[in-house]
Amino acid sequence: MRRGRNKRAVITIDSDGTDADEESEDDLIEDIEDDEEEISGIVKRQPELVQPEVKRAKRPASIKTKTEKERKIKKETGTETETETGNQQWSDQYAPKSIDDICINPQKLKQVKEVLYDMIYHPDALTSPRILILSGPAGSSKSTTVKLLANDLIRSSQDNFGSYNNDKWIEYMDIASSDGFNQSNQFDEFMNDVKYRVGSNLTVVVLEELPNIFHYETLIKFRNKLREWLYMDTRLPPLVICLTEVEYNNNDLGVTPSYSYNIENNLTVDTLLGKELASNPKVKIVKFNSIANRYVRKTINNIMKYERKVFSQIPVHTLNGFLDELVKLGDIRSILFNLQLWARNYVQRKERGVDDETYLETSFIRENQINLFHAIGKIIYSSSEFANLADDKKDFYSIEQVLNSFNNSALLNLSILENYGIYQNGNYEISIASEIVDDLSLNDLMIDGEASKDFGIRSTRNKLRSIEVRSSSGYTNKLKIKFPRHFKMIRQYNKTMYQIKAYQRYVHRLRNTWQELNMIDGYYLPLIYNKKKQSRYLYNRLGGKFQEIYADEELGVSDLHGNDGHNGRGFDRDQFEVDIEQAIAELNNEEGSDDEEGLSDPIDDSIDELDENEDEDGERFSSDSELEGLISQGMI
Amino acid sequence: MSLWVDKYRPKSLDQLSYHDSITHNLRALAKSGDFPHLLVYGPSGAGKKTRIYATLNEIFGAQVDKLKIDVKTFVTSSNRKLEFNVLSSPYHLEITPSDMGNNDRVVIQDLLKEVASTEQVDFSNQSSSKTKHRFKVVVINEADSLTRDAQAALRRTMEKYSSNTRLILVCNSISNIIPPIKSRTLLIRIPAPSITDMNKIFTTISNKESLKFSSNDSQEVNQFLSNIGHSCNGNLRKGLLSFETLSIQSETISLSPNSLSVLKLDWEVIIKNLSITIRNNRNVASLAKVRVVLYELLSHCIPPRIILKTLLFNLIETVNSEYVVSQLIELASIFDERLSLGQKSIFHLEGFVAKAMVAIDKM
Repeated sequence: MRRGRNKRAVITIDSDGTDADEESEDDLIEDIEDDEEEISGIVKRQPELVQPEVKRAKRPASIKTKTEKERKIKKETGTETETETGNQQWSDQYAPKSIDDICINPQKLKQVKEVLYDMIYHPDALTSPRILILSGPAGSSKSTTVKLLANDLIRSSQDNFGSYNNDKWIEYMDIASSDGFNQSNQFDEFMNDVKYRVGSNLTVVVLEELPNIFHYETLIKFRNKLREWLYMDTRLPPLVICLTEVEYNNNDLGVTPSYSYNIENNLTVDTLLGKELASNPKVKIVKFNSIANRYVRKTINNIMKYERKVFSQIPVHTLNGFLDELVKLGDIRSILFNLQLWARNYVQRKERGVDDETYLETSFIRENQINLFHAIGKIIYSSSEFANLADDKKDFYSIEQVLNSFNNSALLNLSILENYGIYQNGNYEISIASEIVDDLSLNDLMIDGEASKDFGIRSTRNKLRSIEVRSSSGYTNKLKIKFPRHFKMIRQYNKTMYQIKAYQRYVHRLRNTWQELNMIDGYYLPLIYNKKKQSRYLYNRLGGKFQEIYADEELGVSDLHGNDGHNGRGFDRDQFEVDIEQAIAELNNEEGSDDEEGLSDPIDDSIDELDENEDEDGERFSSDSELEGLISQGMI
Repeated sequence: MSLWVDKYRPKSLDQLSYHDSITHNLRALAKSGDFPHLLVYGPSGAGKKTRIYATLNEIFGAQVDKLKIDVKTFVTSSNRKLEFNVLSSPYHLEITPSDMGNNDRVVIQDLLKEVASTEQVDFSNQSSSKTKHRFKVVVINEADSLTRDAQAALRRTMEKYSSNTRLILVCNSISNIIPPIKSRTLLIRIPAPSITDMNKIFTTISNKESLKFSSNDSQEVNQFLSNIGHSCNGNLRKGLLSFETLSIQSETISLSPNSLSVLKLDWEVIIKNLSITIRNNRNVASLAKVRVVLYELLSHCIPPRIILKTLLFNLIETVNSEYVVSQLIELASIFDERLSLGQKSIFHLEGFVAKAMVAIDKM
């Protein structure tokens, strides 16, 4: 393939001489060097002159006419593209100029517009919403929407000052600095500057780039700044954060377990802002979805009108075949890149006489990631893509698709356990359910090997297939897919264990195992102490009350950095905690007086741990691989 | 104002109240001044640790009760810092290997080496003992949770350092202890106290605390105390805590059986209710409800095997077909094994529940 292209490129040069652009010439040199390896670096410039001669001799006669045709076309299109100076990517060239051109669901647009309008023109500056968060996958027109809306909303109101032609939005740029400029303050300074962009100077502040939020201190600073922004008692410009939500699922839970979702592996509104900030009434969140096919089609059709010259050469059914694949991406930017590349390629191939009507070069299409919920859906219901195949094929391909695009099988198995019951709203025989769980349980025993990746998944699909489909008319899936609550349980487990162990260590003085304390003393002690002692707080159950653990419909986000307040704790402050703290304080005094060196350090550590939010300790524990091993060994 | 469990804990061999023959043996052992490595086992709350400390007290004197907690740091081969607590007196130290996770082998070896390398200094003038104790005692709690690896390493260490260390392994059941260790230790089984044993202890305490009962009929009181004993399954620790709980709820202890209901442990009640759910609603939706409860128990650190066991016994009570009972037990044994082999217990617990529902369905 590649060879063939080289040859033709050479011919183009040869017959088209000086017209060829520099780029292809450079390509040519390299290609020829590849071909003729014996040519040393010293004679590098020579091939230009020599090689065409060689190649020309080999030129098949039939190609000549095509080449001339190609040259002609090149000239035609050349005039057009050259006028568009430099900006040849369709995604830039055809970027929407007005809000009506945006590739987006009009409902969504309206929703954003209303919120933004409210932010700008709210009568009471203090109660108006202050932060708008647009979250969604990449290429779903988030920033385009907000920028165009900003221009639209503000410009129309300031016709008096019509002379302004500048954009009515300002964007934060996080500039990596090497000149001693304190980068972590950069965001603070930006925010301090933009808060005066009000009145006649009104500007929408857009945050697309964020400071380095993966750095804990920077994240906290970032959140504090936003919080400050929410409660500032002056009128402020609207602040819009465009957040591309990212889920990294490349770590296999089975090998290196990371038992929770946090900002490290999952960038979402919740992990970025923390639960408290995200639920603040002054923060509005609009979730964007991947762009639906028909809006993408609309945009593409528009572009096709402009690029008629290109598209007129492509047979309709080929084009549609390609588009059908392409629009599934739902990422307008990526779609346009691919479309442009493909269309050009197609035209060029055609010019070269490659008669390949079924050419569907999809290898450039971004591999469509499926998220956990899609993966579960495909396992539980089988994929609708393969609906017209036979049952066993349908299942095979659905599972294959999941396995290829989602490699976190441990998480998948937990999710199946959580969700097998939603099939037909749970209206099927318990014996089938028991077989599914039995197989999941067996799957859990397989530690390594290929089988452990798909045994449970395939078996679930098979067993669910064996269920007789009841009258499908009027049947709706009432039950939603849930995220496994395993992580919630682990967090709660760590909290409980942590308190009991602290009690065991400092108050009980290690005389019994913490499991015994949990199962026996933990229940009786509060009953005894609350009657016997007059203490400031009541004794609660040791390790916190028993709490039912429910699964969520959203990703289980752990507030790793959510040191905002103590809401995340599973239990109220009780006398056990006070006792523990006292015991530690006493211990410290003793140690301080007689032995300062060896022992004081570790004990200091433990105090810090106690003072910190329990959540964090939970995290610390769960990142502890030793403990993980322990947990997996027997306790969980 | 300590708990009865601590207040009435025997400190010396003379104060021990039941298992007299064991006490007798221990006394003989203590008298000799030296003893082999010990493996003390028996159900929890039977008085294993109490007897060990009483024996140590006999040998070394009251000094062994002056306990302090040290935090030892150990750096693993992967350069991770590992901290664990050591409870120690001048004459012994006590460790719990489950604190150390998978590194228990290295940690224990290291610790024993350190202990063995320092010759025990015996101030025999102070403690009026007759023999020089040139050894230090290391008590290893929960020895059955030691990994196979650690146990294998222990057997060499036991021989190597036997001149100046004595090990006392404590565990609930010796089924997890490898035979070489069993062979190198003197096995001492401490059975759970009988109802009569416990009754005696309860009576002594109620006299000392001058408790009032709603009836003065000693027969009735005795019966009531026996009921407490029954409710705690031979776990004296649990029994004493329940007795104190009962006594503190009101001035006079009502002898009606209802008053015992407060003694039911919260998690046992949860499992009991779970078994009723399983018995009555056997469908897929019910499995989802069961999952909520299973996660609740797991999140409160109730060991999965205990959940399985308790659930099984509760289920057996609700079915009256012998065939189903045998089915349930077989299922439980399968899933019990899987719990030990597997990674995430929820799969196996739910697996058992689902299979149990099917088994009961066929009744």
